[in-house]
Amino acid sequence: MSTVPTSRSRPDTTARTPVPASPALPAAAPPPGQFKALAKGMTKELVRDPMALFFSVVFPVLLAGLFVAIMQLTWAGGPYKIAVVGSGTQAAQLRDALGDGSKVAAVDSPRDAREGVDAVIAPSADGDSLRVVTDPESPSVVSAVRDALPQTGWEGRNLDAVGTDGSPPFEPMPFVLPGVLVFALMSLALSATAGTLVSLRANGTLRLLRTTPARPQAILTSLLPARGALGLALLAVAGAIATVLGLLTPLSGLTMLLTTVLGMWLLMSVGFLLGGTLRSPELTNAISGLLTPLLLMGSGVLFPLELMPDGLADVLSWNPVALLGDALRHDVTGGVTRHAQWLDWLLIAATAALLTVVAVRAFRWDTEKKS
Amino acid sequence: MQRQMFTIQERREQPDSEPDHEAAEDGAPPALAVRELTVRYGDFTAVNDVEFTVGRGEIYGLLGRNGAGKTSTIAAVTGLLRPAAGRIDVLGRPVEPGRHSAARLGGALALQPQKTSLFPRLQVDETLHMWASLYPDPRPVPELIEELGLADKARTRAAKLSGGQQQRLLLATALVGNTPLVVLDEPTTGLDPHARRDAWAVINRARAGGTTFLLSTHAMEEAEEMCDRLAILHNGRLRTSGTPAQIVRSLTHGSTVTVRSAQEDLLAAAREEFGADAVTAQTRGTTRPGTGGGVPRFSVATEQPERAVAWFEERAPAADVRIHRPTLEDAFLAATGTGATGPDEGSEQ
Repeated sequence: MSTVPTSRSRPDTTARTPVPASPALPAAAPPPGQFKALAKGMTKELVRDPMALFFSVVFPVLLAGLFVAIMQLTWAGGPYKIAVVGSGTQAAQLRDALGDGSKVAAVDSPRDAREGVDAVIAPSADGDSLRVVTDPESPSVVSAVRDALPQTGWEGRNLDAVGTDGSPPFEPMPFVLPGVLVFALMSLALSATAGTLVSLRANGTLRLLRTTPARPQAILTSLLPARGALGLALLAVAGAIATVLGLLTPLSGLTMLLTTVLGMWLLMSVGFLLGGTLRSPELTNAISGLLTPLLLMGSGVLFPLELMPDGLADVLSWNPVALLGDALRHDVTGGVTRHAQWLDWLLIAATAALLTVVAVRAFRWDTEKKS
Repeated sequence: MQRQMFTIQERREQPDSEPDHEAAEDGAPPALAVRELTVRYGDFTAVNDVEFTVGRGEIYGLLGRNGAGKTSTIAAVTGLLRPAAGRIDVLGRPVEPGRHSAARLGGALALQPQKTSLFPRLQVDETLHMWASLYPDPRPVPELIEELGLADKARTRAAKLSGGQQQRLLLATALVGNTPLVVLDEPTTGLDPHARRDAWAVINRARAGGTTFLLSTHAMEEAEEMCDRLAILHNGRLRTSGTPAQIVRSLTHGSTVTVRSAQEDLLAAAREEFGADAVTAQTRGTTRPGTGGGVPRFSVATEQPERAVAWFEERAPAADVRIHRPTLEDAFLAATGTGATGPDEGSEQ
């Protein structure tokens, strides 16, 4: 032994294996593949967590199915009388194409537009979009028109719907899809991220990881790949449904991707803020259980703001989750929106950035007091 | 001042040793140097001006009652908390508390903490592969799994392991990094005797490979068996340090010979032979019926217990004579409890 002599001062004569020269202090650079290994472990933890998967994937899908079933039972109506106005050939072609379908029937006289018809359609001059004026008492007429468009060869056109009173008509699917997607992403952020972080801290795992050469940011961001992939998978499912229903165009598919990425950033920053500050898993579950319905109902995501008093709805429409729902409804064509999408994106990104900074500063690695 | 007095005591008993905190003959810094460490939680001082040095390849034990400051010392050494004062060097590189502490040390140390759960849904081998990937020069995972007797549990999720198996998995995470310094906080708590000895063997093999260990324990047998040197912490202060044998010698009166005999003149004869101060009559429990009570009992403190036994056997062949040699536990109780006071207690005050 070649080092501190006190280690050889032991008086007993017990034979001990000779100790070779100690290894040199390793280089401070972390080994490559550190993040990949952590992310792999965190992914396995997530996909093997039945509760997190249930609330992030299964439950929102069940919820979406429930909404669709309710819609089929309560919103399906028709046949509707549709008036197509306009003097150009576009209007004439559309009127001919709509013909006399099972759900919609075009009527000839534009004069009937004000009385006795459920909606009036006016194609734009370039034929790229359709303006639909509906009777607010027959909101599902917009869906019926949208369903009828593929048979006319007019699918893919933007449908700009408005009620006769000037308000945007309520459409069930464009409302439900963003709501379910936001709900799924919120579960992913609160249940599967905040809950996981708090458990890791309460169990001392984060504390132990801090004693390894792993960079703190690598430890924390290693949670993101699995959650990001799951979020994008949820988006793919929602996008596929929206496409099948004719709610999504290729361009709006891209904007929906951007909206979802911004939404994941926003909700994950909430998840990291809660996960980085709350002490016990029980408290986290309680707060998540309270926060989720409050945010979903109080932001018009699962409960239409239009059904709330105007003043309250106006205020609530500015909360970040409401902005996320608003931006997603922009993407699924024809949804009720309150703000310009660029404004939604800007405010979501600004809030997410702010929450990220707060989450990073407030993050606690362990529950013990500091000296 | 207590720390300094004990340091002097220790050095007096090791005349050929070099002072702490200095580099070894080859110029290499010690594995761990803790200097004037103070840790506070608000107004409470958990660790008060503690210092010790651990040489490379050494197993150094921290003993102390619950709340003595062992875990706080370990937390400071591993960079998990910021000390109120003091300096800690691992292999000559300062531990700078903060988020990047361990990363800055570049895998110089690993910790097995108390009461920590790992990832519950990861299997044993997955957990260790993940941990190994965090270090620059890890040990082969299958070899470690085999050594710790977890081979048949390699594909079992951590949550499904028994308490003792989880403890072994924690020990494995501390060893898999192949770090020069490993800090073990009560490493064998909850292990059965067989598993404990297996763990000791693994630690000793790692030490034979050059690894240095700092370990805290409540198990005196473990401390005596495993540690080259020990420090006893009490109320946040370092009460004494040295080899187990040095600590036993410095904190106890030496051996005691206990005698139970009905022979009336034996007590007086013993006082005459060994000195009145060395002989203590014991009356506790002697009158309880059915327990052999009623037979007088006394003890003799002596440095030569074998000679005393021979003397009693000659004078009172029927007497029940037993030798009690001081143990590390006696020394520990003397240093930290309200029991017998060791000879050094007076000098350190």
